[in-house]
Amino acid sequence: MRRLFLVIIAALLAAASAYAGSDGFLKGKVLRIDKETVAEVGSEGSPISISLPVPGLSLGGSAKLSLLDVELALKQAAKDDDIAMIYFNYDNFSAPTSACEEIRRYIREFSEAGKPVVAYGCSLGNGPYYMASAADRIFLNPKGSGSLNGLASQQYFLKDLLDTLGVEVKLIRHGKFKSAGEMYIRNSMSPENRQQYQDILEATWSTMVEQMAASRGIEASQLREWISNLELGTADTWMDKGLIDGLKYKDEMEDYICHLFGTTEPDAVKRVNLKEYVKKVKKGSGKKVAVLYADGEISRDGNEIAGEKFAAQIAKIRKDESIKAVVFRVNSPGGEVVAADIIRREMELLCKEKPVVASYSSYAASGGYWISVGCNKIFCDNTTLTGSIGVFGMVPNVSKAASKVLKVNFETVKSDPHAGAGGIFTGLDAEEEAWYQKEIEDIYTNFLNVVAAGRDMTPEKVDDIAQGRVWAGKDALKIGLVDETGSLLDAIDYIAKEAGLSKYKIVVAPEKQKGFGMNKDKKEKPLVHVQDMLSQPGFRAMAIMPFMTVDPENPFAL
Amino acid sequence: MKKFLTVFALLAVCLGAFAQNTGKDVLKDLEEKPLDEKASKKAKPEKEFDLFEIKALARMGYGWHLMDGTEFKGGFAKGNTEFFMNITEFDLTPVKWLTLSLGLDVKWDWYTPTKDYGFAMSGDDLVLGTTAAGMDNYKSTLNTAAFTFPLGLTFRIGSIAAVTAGAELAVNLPKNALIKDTYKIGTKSYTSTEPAGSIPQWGWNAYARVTFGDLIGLYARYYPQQPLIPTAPFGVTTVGLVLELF
Repeated sequence: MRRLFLVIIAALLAAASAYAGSDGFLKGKVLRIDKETVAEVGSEGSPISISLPVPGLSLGGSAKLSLLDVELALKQAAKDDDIAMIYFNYDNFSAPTSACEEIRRYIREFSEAGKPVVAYGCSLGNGPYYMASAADRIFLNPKGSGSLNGLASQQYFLKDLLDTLGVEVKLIRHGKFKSAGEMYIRNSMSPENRQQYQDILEATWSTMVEQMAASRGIEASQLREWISNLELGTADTWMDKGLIDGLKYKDEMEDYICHLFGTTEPDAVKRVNLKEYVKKVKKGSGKKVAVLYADGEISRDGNEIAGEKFAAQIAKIRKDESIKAVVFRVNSPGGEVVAADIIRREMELLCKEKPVVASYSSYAASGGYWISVGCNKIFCDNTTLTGSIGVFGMVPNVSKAASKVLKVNFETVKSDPHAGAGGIFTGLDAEEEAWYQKEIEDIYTNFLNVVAAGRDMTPEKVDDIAQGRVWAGKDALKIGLVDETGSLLDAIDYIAKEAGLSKYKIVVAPEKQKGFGMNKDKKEKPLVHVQDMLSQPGFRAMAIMPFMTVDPENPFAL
Repeated sequence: MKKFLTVFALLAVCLGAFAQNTGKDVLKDLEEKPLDEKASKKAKPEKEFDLFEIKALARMGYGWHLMDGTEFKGGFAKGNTEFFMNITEFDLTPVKWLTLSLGLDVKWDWYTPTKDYGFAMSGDDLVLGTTAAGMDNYKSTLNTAAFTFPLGLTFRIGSIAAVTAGAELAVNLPKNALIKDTYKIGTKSYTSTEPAGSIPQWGWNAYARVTFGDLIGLYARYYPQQPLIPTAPFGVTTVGLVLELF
C-alpha cells in the first residue's frame, strides 16, 4: 500500500513537471490586430474604393470586421494551439465604445489562458490606451506621446440663428430629459440635459478608468488625479507613472517578438492577421441560434432599420423552424414611433414562439429600447447608452424666413380650419399645438405601458426613470432597465442554454453588406433629419436619442 | 496521520504546478530567458497547411527500373528509366503531420537494352544474336507513357522530413508505346519505329517516398506486374530521386 502511494505521488509529480509553466519559447503564430476596423455589422468591403465629393460618403471601401466574428475569433484563439500570442497595434484600431469594452474583455481572457498579449503604438489617448491596457505589456515609441483627458460632449444651439432667419420651431415633447430638439429652441443646455450628459459621461468614463487602472495595478482615483492634473504627455511621463512597460522603436519591437519565439530571425515568426484568422472562426454546428441585427435609425422606409422590411425579416425568422433561439442585437438611437411599433409587434410574436434575448451595443435608446424591451432578458455593456423613454415631435415654420430672406410670400386656402396644419410654411396655431401635445402624451403613455409590460414594472415606476432620460448601461442595470451586463457572446450562450441547446450554429440576419454598397459614415447623428422633416408635410412623432458631438460609437475623436 | 499529511503536501505541490500561468507570467519567464544564438538563427517557420489544398506541378522525379531477365525484345529489358511529373494533387490535411493525397501524374518510361545485338533475317523474322565490334548490330528502345493516379498517406516529422506511402493506378497509353529500332550496317544507321504490341491498359504499383526539408527526396515503386509482359512471374522495382516543387 505504501509503495502504491509513493508510485502515485511520483507519477503526479512527473506529470506536474511536464505541465508546470513554459519551459521553452513560444511556439505557434502571432495573432496580429493591426489596422482593423470593427463595426457592429461587418462589411466585406470591395477592392476599389472611390471617395465622392460628399462628406461621409464613399463607394466601396475597406472591409470591416463584425464584432461577433472578432469575439468568436479571440475566444477560439485562446484555445487554439496554433496561436501563441497577440500583438496589438493600438494606433490603427477602430471600434465603437461598447465594442471596445467587449473586445477588451476577450483579450484579457486570452491572457488569462496563459498566452501573452503585447501592445505597441506611437500615440496614446482615451481609446488607444483603453484598448492597450488590456495587454500584458504596453510599449510606446520613444518619441510617442498622448494624454488621457476624459470624455466631453459639445452641443450647439441654433435658436438665435433661427430667430434671425425667421424660422420658428415648435418642439412638442414629453420628458424633461427628452432633449432631442433643444438645439432648435434654446441657446444653452437645460439643467436636466446637462445633468443627464454629466451622468452618462461619468458612468462611461469611470468604467473605462476602473478597467485601465485595474489592468495596471493602480487605484482608479490615482489615475483620475493624473488625468485631472494633465500629468500625462510625453512617452517618459507614461513610463514614470508605470502606465506603459517600455519604449521601443518598431525594429526593437520586432526583436522583442522574435526573442519570445527563441529566434533572431523575423521570418521565423509566423503571423496571422485578425482579418485572416476570422475566416477560420467556427460558428458551430447543429440547430441554429440567429443573431438579428437592428443597426441604425428606425424609420418607415429608410436605409437602416426600415419598419416594414425589418418586421418581415423578423417574421421570416419566426417561421424558420431550424432557428431555435434568437439574439436581438440592437445598436439604434431610435427613430419613428410608428416604425418602431411595427417592429415591436413582430418581436412580440417572435417572443411567443421562441426564446429571445436582447443584447445592446453602443446604444439601444428610445425607439431602440421600444423595439426590444419585450425580450426575455436584456444584456448590455457598461458603456451602452439606453433608456431615453420619451417622445417628441418638431414642426418648423419657415414662412417668415422665406418672406424675409427670399422675399417669397405664402398664402393658404383651406377647406377646413386646420387643413395644412404642421406644414413648413404654415406651422401650428395654439389649438393645433395643444392637439399635437395630446398626441405626444398619448404616445408617451403607450411607451410607458410597453416598457412596463416588458420589464414587469408599473407604468408609474417606469415614468420615474423615463422622462426621456438617457442612461449608461451600468446605471440602467441599477434601475431595472436591463437585466445583466455582458457581451454579445454572453447573450448567445445564455439563450442557447434557455433553448436547451448544448451544440448550436450561429447564423446572422440580415446578411452583412457586400461589395459596392454605399457606405454612409455614421459619425454624425443629428437629432432629426432636418431635410427629411422639410420634405414631409405634417407631423412625425419621434422616439430618438439626442445628439452627442462625442459620438458614442467613437468617443475617442477628441 | 503523518502519511496523510505527506501525501496532502505533495498533492498541494502538484496542484500548484498545475496552476494556470497568465500571459504576464509567461512573458516574465520568456523575457529573462537567454537566447541560444546558434539555435535561434537556425529556427525556421514550419510550413503552413490548409485543411484542403489543391496543388499543381507539385513534384517531379527521375528513376531507374531494376529489372531482371533478358532484353525486352521478345524478353525483358534492363537499364530502364522513368520520368514523372505531377499535374495536380488534392491534399486533405486534418492535422499538420498527416496528409491524405490523391494526385494525377504523367509518366514516361524508356526501356533500352544494355547492349547491341547482332542480327540476321530469317525470312521476315529478325533473329538476334551476339555481336562484336565492327559487325552489323541492332538496338531497340521502347518508350511508353502513362497517366497515373497516386493515392497516398504522408506523415510529417516537423519540417525535417516527410514519409509517404501509397498505391498508384496507372493508365497506360498503348498507342503511344513505340519501339524504335536502330540498325547499324557498316557505317550507316537506319531507324524505324513500330507499335510495341500489346501493352496492358491498366496497371498498378505500390510506392513510397521520403523527402527532406520539403525539397528533395527518394522514392521507390514496386510493380507487382511486369509493365511490358503481364504474365511475367516477377515485378519491377523502381528507385529514383524526387524534387518537391510546391
